[in-house]
Amino acid sequence: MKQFGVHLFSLWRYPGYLALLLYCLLLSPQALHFLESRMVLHMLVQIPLLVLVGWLFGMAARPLTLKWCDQWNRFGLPGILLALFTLGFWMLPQNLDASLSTWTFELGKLLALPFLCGLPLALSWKQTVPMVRGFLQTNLISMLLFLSWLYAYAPVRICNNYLINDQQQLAVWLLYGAGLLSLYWSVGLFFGRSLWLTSPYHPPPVLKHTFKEDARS
Amino acid sequence: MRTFGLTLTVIVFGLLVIWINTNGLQTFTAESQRRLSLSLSPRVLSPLPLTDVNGNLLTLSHPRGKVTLVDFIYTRCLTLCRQQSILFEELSETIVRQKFGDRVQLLSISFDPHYDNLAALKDFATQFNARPPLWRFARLKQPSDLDELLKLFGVTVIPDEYGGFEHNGGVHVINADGAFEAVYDLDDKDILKKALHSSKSLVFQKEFAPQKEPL
Repeated sequence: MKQFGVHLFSLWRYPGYLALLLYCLLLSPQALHFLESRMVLHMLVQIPLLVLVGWLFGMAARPLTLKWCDQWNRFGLPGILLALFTLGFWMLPQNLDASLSTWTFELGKLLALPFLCGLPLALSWKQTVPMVRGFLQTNLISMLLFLSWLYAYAPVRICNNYLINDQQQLAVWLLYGAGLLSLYWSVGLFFGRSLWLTSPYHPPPVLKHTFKEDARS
Repeated sequence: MRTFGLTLTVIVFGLLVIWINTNGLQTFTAESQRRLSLSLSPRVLSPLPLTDVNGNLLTLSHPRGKVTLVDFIYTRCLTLCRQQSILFEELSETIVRQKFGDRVQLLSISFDPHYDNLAALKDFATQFNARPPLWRFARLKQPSDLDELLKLFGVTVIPDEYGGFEHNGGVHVINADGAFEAVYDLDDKDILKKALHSSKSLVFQKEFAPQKEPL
């Protein structure tokens, strides 16, 4: 039993295998059917999990791509932009609808979200300037709040394939999501390690000198 | 430098994809996509057999030379279908008053062919004072044609939690050539005017070119 526990735990050390496992689970017809049956599950479970799969693949691939990233993905700029465009594309209600009605869009979604959003995000996130990271985090929160407002007050159904109740339920969950994320990140901001300490490109400012000055005076 | 090139490529490619996908930032929902694609090219309708409440055979593209306004209903509906039917009742009164009867007709099609038999439809029609030549109620002759009908018009019907359906509503315009040309919102005040005057039908452009108002 203990050995099994160790095995399960050590799976976290091999993000590639974990990603493969999760991806297979998500691609199974039952999971597809279940996760696409409700708007909340589709937008707040399936899409984030697909991005997570890509992120885990990216974590596994990161050591192999460090040199390449240094040349082609400096500051994580192209990677982050690619991820943003991909996510933006699949947040458009018409594409969400299309993924339910045409198989090409469904296939596109299942491939694009892990490999064009999650994967580049994982390869780029650590290399971004902390300011950019903060900008993205705060923008994600405000985007979730905006979507929540949009879905709560839209007089018509935004997706033809989902009930209006679903849409309003999603609005509530988006609100919860935004609240939780901002709470999580602000806890990190106030009590966690400083953002400055985690960036390899931007070492923390040297405070030694000022301390000495202080001591003398 | 390589990063710069790749960044530029991603931006250009990303914007291009979004631009094409949204038809130049014009459409964001499936509904607006449907309307835009219609306005660019009217859709030719296949002759699906329908029966009206008296058992007469109809087809979607049958009476050429008349504009047909179509809505989709099911008789158990308590919300959208009633709004649509109230609008159609108003429209039919306007048509009679302004003597447009030879140019326009109304057609309500049930998308619940299993429940809505001719009797149910007839009952629904009398509730809204539908008079047959002007406003017909019809159901599919073969219930198996339902998917084709809905696909033809781009209507999505999904069962709701109360045993009924939710569906995208609107007034669908079939022009005088028998092609599906536009969808208008229910709160649009100029449905008749638009349906008659902006018709892309060749028959209509010839016959009803803007006329001078008598002073």
